[in-house]
Order: sequence, then structure tokens, then C-alpha cells
Amino acid sequence: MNAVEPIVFLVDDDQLFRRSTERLIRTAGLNVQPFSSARDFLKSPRPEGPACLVLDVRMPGLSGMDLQRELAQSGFHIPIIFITGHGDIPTSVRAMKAGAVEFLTKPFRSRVLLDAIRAAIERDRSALQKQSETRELRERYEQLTPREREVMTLVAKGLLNKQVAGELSTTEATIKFHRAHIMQKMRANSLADLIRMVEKLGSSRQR
Amino acid sequence: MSFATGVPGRLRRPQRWPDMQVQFEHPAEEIKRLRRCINDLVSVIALPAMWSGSDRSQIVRTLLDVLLEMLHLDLVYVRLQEPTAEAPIEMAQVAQPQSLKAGPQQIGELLHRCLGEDPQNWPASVRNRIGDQDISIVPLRLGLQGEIGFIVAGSQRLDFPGQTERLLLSVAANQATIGLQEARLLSEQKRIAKELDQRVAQRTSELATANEELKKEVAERRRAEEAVRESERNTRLILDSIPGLVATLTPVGDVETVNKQLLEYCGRTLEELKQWGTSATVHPDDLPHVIDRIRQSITSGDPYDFETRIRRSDGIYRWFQVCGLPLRHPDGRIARWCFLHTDLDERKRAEQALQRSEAFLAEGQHLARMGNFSWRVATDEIAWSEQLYHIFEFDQGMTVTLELIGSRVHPEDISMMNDMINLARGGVDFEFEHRLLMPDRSVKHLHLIAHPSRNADGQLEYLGAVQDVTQRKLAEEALDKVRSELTHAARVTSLGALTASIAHEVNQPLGSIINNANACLSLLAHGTPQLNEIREALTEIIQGTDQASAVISRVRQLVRKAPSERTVLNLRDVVADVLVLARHEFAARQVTILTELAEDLPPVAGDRVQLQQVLLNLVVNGMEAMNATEASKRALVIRGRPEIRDKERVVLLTEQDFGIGFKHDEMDRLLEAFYTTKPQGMGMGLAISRSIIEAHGGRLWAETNQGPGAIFLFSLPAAGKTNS
Repeated sequence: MNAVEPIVFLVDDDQLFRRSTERLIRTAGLNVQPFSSARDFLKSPRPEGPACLVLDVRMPGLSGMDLQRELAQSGFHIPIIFITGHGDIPTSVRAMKAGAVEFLTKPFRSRVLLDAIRAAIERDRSALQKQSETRELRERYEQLTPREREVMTLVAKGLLNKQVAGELSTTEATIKFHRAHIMQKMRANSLADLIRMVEKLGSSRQR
Repeated sequence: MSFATGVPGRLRRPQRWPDMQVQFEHPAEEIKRLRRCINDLVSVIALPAMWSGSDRSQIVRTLLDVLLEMLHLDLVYVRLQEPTAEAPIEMAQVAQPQSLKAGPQQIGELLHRCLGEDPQNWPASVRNRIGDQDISIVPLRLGLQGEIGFIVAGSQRLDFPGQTERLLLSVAANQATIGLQEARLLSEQKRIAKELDQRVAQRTSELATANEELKKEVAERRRAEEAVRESERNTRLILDSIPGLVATLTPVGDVETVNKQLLEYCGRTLEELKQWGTSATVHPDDLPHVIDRIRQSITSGDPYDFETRIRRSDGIYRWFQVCGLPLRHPDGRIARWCFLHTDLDERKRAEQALQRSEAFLAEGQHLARMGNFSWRVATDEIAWSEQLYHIFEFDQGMTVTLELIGSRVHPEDISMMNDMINLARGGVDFEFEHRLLMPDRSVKHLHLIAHPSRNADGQLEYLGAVQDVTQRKLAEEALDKVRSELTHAARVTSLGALTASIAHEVNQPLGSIINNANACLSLLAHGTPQLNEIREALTEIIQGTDQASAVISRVRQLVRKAPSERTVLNLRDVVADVLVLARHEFAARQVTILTELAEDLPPVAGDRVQLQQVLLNLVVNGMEAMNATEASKRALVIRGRPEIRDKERVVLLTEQDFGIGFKHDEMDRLLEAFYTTKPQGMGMGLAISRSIIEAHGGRLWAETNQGPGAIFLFSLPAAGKTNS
């Protein structure tokens, strides 16, 4: 997975600015792919590796904010660095709330952009990592029977076997049996390990 | 009785007398002879009685005839000394004219030769040859000394003259002398009487002539007198019909006569008028001067001329011009004075009114800071009113010349002024404004207007007025300044709405520049720099700089407080200018902007910034009007096309939005100042826009849309001549 090079997507309708930014990013040693419009970007294939999007706020047609919304809706959680010619507070707040990693006002220091890009890529890289871990957990979770899932949820809540048995109207022994299966299927080394896994599964359910 | 025709009838035919001695020898014969002699003597003595009343030539002729016949003479000659005539009367008779063919003068000469010159020494008789005969001639003196003349009798007979013949001859001579003397006397008497008659006649005629002349003279005098009377009548008539009051004064100044008008005017008699000095005829205030002046004139003999108030019969004093002239005798003495009084009252009143009106004018000019002038172009004679001296700050009465005026004219306006003067010499109306530079370095603004006219001599003359418009000019400048500040404020306000857009337009290239610069830096940090990449980056840096500065200069133009400047421009460029600044605002507000500008849009003359301001204002208004409009329907359309309006070629520009629009009854107020529909609006934008367009000779108005929204339109006259 680490073999895939990170990539920086750049969407800006202003050719001069787009080209200079592209050049800046490229000379910083990063892969960069420029687009002159949001539509063009949407048509392009999604990256496999870590990536980030440098996006102009105001553009004719589909604006930066529109694109952010559309990406979120389609589940493409790429970190977005907004750049704008004229930053106004309401717009930046709205963008940050919608998950933007950075909001830069032109003209900005090149280092600031590059740092933001690197941070975003790292963030995406870890997000991707987390995402693949969650995916494995889920695959394991999928192997659990409905009874095992019920037991695991209650165990993860910190209930004792006896309490779980009482909750599910069964015997403590049965619970112990299920628990052993769960630990095996989920490849959990300890109860704490399992609890962390359940938390991860729970938090990722929305994604 | 006429003696000229023949011998008097009483006379017997003369007979030849025998010699005396013979008679004595024959007594009978002797008696007969004596008788005959006596008869002859009686005849001779009777001659004077016959001659009575005859003239001398008749007497002489008779005498000659009688003697020739009586004495049987061959020749008889008479010469009468004529005291009054130069030539004597000579007469001759010959018995046989054929033997002596000679006239009396020749005979007289012959006889003189025989007798000698002096009659006193003549012989009693002499025999001589006369003609072809020998004749005895006897000369006889007439008068004692022969003073009357003489008679010469001649006969061929040798015995001639006999005694009786001599007697007869002498008696005849005496008788002839008596007769001739009587005849002379008579003729003298006749002559005298005639002369007397002539003198009487002459005198009578002279008297008649004199009488005639006298008559003529009398008639002449009568006519002259009549003429004098007529002339006096005419004079009186003239005096009485002169439209003025006339009085004549004696050389010492007493009133002599006055005309009817004067009597009627004063309502006084001549006798009263003679006392004018004490009868209040002349206004009491004028009287001392009048008396003084009249005395001066009378003493010096100089004409009198003075304006005086004279009392009318109704007691009102009227102004008169009184002119007195001395009328002189041929020798130069003053005969009398003639005083003419001309009623001046109307003129005086008019003069006073004129003076008042002139005073008003002067006051008015003072208040209006305005003066008049006249300028004769041919001679450059210039006349100024008083106020003009004040304006130019020259002393009153200085001689005004073009040079003098030029010395005050602002140096920068001198050439314009000279141009105007040259133009004016052609006789055209002219009007211009120029400045004066006063000695204290202050500047005055003058407005001059002048019209040409031809004066009485047909010369070109300008009449004009000059107004000191400095204060108005300063006020105008102040007003212009305020107006321009307001316009500027409105412009900045409009621009304020586009701040974000403008910032974007500037920041975009700035960001690009920074990026490229940093890219270059990191490229250079590498051991082997990619020069191509660096070159590209630098090129883009320059592009970015240009782009940013272009935007900044557009904004600066709009923000700058620049004086209005007209150029020929195309509204397409103005639209582009505005849209560049606004496009990001449109993008941000999701307003679609559409332009439909005709390719053949004619240029207009205008101030680019002000026209940008108008369009900016319309575009911002339109944009803001669509705040509440559904995003997909937000659009702003700008159209431009040439049109003919009121026969004039104009460029029409329209701005259409689909916003809230306005109600029809708001239309009129929309363009008024301080009318706004926006909570934070000043209500100045459209009013200022309209004043800008109107200052460009155009029109700005609004129309409601078919659907939602509004259309704002303005038209500007196309610049230059028609172009296809």
C-alpha cells in the first residue's frame, strides 16, 4: 500500500494561478494533477493512494464549495485545501465545517500551501490506513453470527458474562462459549483489544 | 412868294443902259436914260421890301438876277461871309452860261486872282480875262468893311461901269447889305427863336423825364416802404410763429418787443415784461445769475446763452434755454439784442431721467460687476463705462487702448484674446471668457460679449458688455469640486460592492507570482536546475504582474479624483472594463452575465471613468436586485446597439436584470437623488449616473421588464459624422 505515490489534485479556473501552483507543488517533489474545472475533476478516476485536493472557492459553473458537498455525498473523503482570492469568514467557516483541512487566502506563502498539502496527504494516508484496518475488522465482524454480534456488543460495553447471560436470557457457559468464538474470529488478543475493535467498528459505521 | 423861280413881277425887264456921256449929248435919250435909271434905282431901293422875310440865299439870288438883267452884265458874283459857317456862301450868275462854264467857287477864285487878297485894296474896277472873254469887273463891298461879303459885277463892255451903273451897283450893294443884314438879323432871330424853342422843348422834355423819374422814385419809395412794412409784418409773423419765446432788447438791455408766445406764456403785458427783473418772471434762484450774465453780454457784446426757469401764466416755472444774439449796424454798433427762449423743460426732465437712469445703470453695473464698452475697429478707439475701470483697476479717464487692456490680460489668455480681436475685425458677434492678472497677482475672470454695428459714418463699431464673473467662477469651481467629490464618493461606493471581486482579481495574479517565484527558488536549490522550467516560471511571473497591474490601474482610475476628460471611446471597452472588475462578484453571486454588443457600435465622446461608473452602478444595482432571486434565474444582460433617435445617431446601452424590479409608479422617483430601495443605500447612484449621462448629452431612463426585474437604458450621441 505504501508503494502507491501520493498525489495532489489542483482545481482552479485561473490558468496562470493553476500553472504556477502546479509548478510549485511539482518542484516540491510531489505529484500534481491540475484541473481547470470541478467537472473535469469529477470525471477523473479516484486515486488509490493518499491524495489531497487544492480547490479554488469561486469558479464559474460548479464552485469549490459545491464540489466539496458533492464529494462528501459520494463518499470520497479526500482532504481539501481551499484557496480563495478573497477569503471571507462565513465562507471559510462553512468550508471548515464541511471538513476542509485548510482555507488559504491568495496570495499565500508557498510554504504554507506545501505544508498544508503534506499534512493533508499524511492525514489521508493515515485515514486510508485506518480505513483498511476497519475494513478487515468488518470482514471479521461479518463472520460473526448474529448471537455472537449481540454478545460482543454487550461485552464491549463492559458487562460481565453473567450479566450478558442474564441480558440474553441464557447461561453464563453459553456466553463463555460465544466469547471464545468471538475472540478467535475477531483475532482479538484481549478483552481490551476487542473493545477497541468494537469502538472502531462503531465509529466507522457512518462512513 | 418865291424868288427862286423867277424875277419879281414888279420889275421891269432891265434894259441896256447907254453911256452917260452919250446921254448928255442926246437930251431925249438922256431923259429916257435918266428915267430908266430912276426906275432902276426905285426897283433897287424896293428890293429890301421884297426881300422882307427872305433868307440870304434868296436875297442874293434875287440880287444877282436883278443886277444881271438891269445892268446887262455878263457875270455877277456874290460871296457872303458867313460868320457861323466855315465856308462862305458863293453864288454867281452869268449871262451866257455857255461862254463861262464854271461854278461859283471857280469864278470866285478867278475874281480873287484879278482883285488880290485884301478887299480893302481892291481897285474900283479892273479888266481881266475870264474864261475866253475880257471882262471888266467891279467889286463892291457889302457892309462898310466888307464884313458881310462882296459883290463882283462883270461885263464885256469896255465902258463898264458907267456912272449910273456904278450908282446902281453901289445902291444895290447897300440895299443888299441892308437886306442881308435884315435877313441875317431875321435869320438870327429865327435861329434864336428856334434855339429858344429847342431849348424850351429840350427843357420840357428834360422836365418830363425828371418828372417821370421822380414818379418812379416816388413809386420806388412807396414800394420800398411797402416792402419795409411787409418785411416788418413778416418779421412780426415770423416772431409770432417761432416755436419759442422771443424778445428784443435795446443795446442797453431794456425790453423792446416780445413775440406773442412770450406774452401768452407769461400771461403778462409788454409793459409788465419790461419790468421782468422785479416781477418774478425769472425764477428767484436763477435771477441773480441771469442779471449777471445779461450784464456781462451787454457789456462785452458776446452772445448770451444760459438755462433759466421762467414762470408760466399758471405760476409754474419751466426750464428754458435762453440765447441772446447782438444784431449789429453795418458799422458794428449793436442795434439791438434778440433773445430766443427755447422750452427745455421736457428735455431737462428727460435729461434728469437720463441722469437717474445712468445712475441706476452705474449702480446696477456696480452690483453686477459689469461694464460696457464700445470699440471702433478701424481706429481702435475704445470707450469704457466707469465700472469697467473698476474691474480693470485703472484710473478713471485713462485712455483705453488694446495695449492697456493687454497689460492686464492673463499671460496664458493673451493669444486667445489676440485671436478674438483678429476675428472681431471681420465684424462678427463674439463672446468669450478670459482672465485678468491683477498687479497683486490675483486673478479675475471676465465674461465678454459684443455685437458689431455700423455707426453713422458706416464704420464698424462693437458695443459690448464685460462682466466680472470671478465670484461666480469660484462658486462654480467650488460646486464642481463638490459635485466631483460626490460623484467620486458614489463611484467608490459602487466599487465597494465589488471589493471582493477586485481583491480576487488582484490576488489571483499575486498568488501566481509568489508560487512561481518559490518554484524558481526550489528549482535553483537543486544541483542541476531545470532552466526551461525556471524560464517558464519567470515568464508567468511577468504575466501575473501585468495582469495585477492592469486591474489595479482600472481600480485606481475609478477611485482617483481625476478631472473630467473627454475622449473618443467605444462603449464595448467600457463594458469590458466593468465586467473585468465585476466578474468574480457575479461568480460569487451565481449571476450569469450575458453581453450582446453590436459589432458596429459607433464611438462616443466621453469620460471613460464616468461612463464606467454609470455602468458599474447599473450592474451592481442589477446584481443586488437579484439577491432574492432563485440562483438558476439570476442573469444580467448588457446590450449595446446603434440607433437613430430624434434624427440623431446614438448608441443605446441597456442593462436588464431579473430581480425585484420596481413598481411602475416608482419609475419617476427612481432617478431622483436620495431615493433608494436598499436598506444601506444612499440613493445617489442613479441620480449621479443620470447627471453624468446628461452632461454627455445623453439620456438615462428605466423601464419595467416583461417578466420580473428591470431594464435601465442610456443613450449617448455617436461621435463624429455618420460612419457606416
